[in-house]
Amino acid sequence: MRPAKTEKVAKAETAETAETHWALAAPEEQSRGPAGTGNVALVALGVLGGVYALLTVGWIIGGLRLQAYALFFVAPVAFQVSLWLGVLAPAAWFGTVMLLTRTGRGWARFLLLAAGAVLLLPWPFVMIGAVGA
Amino acid sequence: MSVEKSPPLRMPALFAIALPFALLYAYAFWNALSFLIEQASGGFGLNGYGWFVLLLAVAFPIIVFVIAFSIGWRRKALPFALILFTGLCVACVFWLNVLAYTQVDGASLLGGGA
Repeated sequence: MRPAKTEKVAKAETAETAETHWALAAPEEQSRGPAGTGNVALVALGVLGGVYALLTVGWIIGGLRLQAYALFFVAPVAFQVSLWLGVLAPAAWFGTVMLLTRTGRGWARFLLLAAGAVLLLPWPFVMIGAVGA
Repeated sequence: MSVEKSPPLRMPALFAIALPFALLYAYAFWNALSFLIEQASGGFGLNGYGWFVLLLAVAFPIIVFVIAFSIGWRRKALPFALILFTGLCVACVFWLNVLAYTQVDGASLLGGGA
């Protein structure tokens, strides 16, 4: 879980240094429009990407822990569909927000991503835990 | 780039995208409804809180579909489908949360008399 996060941050940092070199090479390009992504925004996106990766792992573990109990009540196919759509939820939310907020104000992207991180908290994992109740 | 300014989808395309997703949302709806009926007609019955929580689980897929549709239907095909898919994922997340809650504290939902 942790390597994924640090890797994303490292990736964002590489992008940052690359952008700095580029900016030094062409100083007249430094004042870009609102579509350009700043260094802080890149790092923040990397961190948020790491958080969403952790949410995905939490859904896999929590959902699989829930399985044994849920199959008493819910049809197996119905549970499998719900489980794997739930696992896909953080990725789907992240991708959709990134796609829909390419234009417009920058803060909307981060507001939606932060709201999604709260909305998609893996409650089965939080309540049942990784080893079962 | 010009997602918001693009002309809205024509009717057939709108239905071709929305209908399969509507069926999947409906599946989540009936799934939750059967769970509600099963619990309500079980040996303990449901109390008021139990009715509230499980009826919310039944209503949630419909609410999410309406929200996702209203956000997406004026956009192009791909964003529209993505928004509906994300909504479906969120509905499933909520359903799993409800199931987990009934496992951890299901006794708080029961006891209204069958």
